[in-house]
Amino acid sequence: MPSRTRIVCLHEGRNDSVDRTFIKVLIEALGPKWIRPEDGSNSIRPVPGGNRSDLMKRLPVELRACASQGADTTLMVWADCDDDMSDGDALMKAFWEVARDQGIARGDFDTVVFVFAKDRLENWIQFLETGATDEGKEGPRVKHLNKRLWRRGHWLLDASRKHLALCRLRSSGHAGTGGSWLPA
Amino acid sequence: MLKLIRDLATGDAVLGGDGERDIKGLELTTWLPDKVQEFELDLSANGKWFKYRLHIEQVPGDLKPRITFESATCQGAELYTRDLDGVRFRKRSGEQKGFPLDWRQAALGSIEPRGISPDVVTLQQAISKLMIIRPSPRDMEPESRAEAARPDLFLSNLTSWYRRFANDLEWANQFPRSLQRVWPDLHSFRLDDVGINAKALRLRFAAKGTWDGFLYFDQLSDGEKALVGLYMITTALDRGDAQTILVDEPDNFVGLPELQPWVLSLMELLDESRQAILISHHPEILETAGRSNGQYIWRDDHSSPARLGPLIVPEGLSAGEAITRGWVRA
Repeated sequence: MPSRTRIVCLHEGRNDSVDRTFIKVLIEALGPKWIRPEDGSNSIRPVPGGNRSDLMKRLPVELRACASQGADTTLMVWADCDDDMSDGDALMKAFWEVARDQGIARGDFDTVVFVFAKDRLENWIQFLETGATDEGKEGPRVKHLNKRLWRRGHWLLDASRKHLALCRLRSSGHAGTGGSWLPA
Repeated sequence: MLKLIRDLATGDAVLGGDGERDIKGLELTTWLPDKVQEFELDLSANGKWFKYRLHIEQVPGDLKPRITFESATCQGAELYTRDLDGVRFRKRSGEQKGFPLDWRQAALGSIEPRGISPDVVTLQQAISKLMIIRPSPRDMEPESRAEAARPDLFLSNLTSWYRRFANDLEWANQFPRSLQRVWPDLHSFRLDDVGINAKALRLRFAAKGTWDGFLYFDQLSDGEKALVGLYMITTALDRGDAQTILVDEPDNFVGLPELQPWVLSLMELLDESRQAILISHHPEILETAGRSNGQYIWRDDHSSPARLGPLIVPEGLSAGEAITRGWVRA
């Protein structure tokens, strides 16, 4: 029987976007103890939030809902910096301003785990798939609902696993200083 | 469980029997070591409150289950009581009477109406008007051999049940009209002779388009068959043939555009004397029925007891989303 959702991953896109598969596979593979996961089919719940400004408006609702479930429920927000935000700090500030206007306290806002792609998740995935990406332009968009569903499903998993491997290499110091091959 | 109580209380079934409707054995509660299951049913009818209690014992091995205790009260006053020694009740004249009874039979289904309190009859009728359905279109019979007084659990005898009402003109008019809300091209129903005592249900469609003709019930899709069944249930509720209906997963097989109209048409009928209990996970039903009407049943794991609580939905989430996340119980 399904367990309670412990991690809500609010992300850009719609139900058929690539993000939700990538996010779920990646978090399951990482198995982060710091966000108190729990075994079960439904402990990670990706929630598509539309475009980035929709995501900002949705955050306060999801944060309150998570808070109502107790301290062992975490809200993660996955978004792209795109080319209009200089870095993650600027994007987080934009999220905070919308949340503050909707009555969210700073202390509650700070419980949100943000994951930002520079510039876009599509580029991130393209890099993991091919080893190269041009962040000056958006990487190829991927949908689940197309003729290449099966193949794309597989390379998504591969991309998630590659990312996991890179994270582990970096944390163990074997990936050097990061360098040009590892996205910031 | 409700079906078991109804079938025993109406005398349709006995414990341990081999008949089609009999209850061959009980499923004991996995998390309880007790061999006696105790059931209590509170219900109102004709403006009075009734409590019906039934204790059934089942031990492992070849012994058949038996009723060890049974009682009924009306407005707190005892109507009758039974134990392993027999049934005891008071006649209208005030005289105390009793009779021995087979442990496999429920007393409520065995007491003859003559001379007893009319409240016993009211209770008998109220329980007989419990309709418990788990629609399974793939089990629905293509033709009927005889009339059926009430639908069975899977609605497999739908045509036989329809056959019972076919000669009631008012019923035969009302039923297609209710279904026309979702099938505007439906014209009428008809029973065709297809053999000795065998009848098949035929639906006439009169569309604005080119085709105007008949389809046998068996030619309908699973969803369409289920929908016919659901509207028969609401018609039965509307006409007083049922007082309480319990439908397990009415959304199975039914298309989304047809589901909400059915739930709304059902809700139109509900009042102090007509009740509906729907068991569903479907977001459309949860939202349409209204979360304030909802109760949530859950088990923490496979060896835990089933629990019942109010449907608590965090602000900003739909009931369906909250259930998906397991967040409906605080």
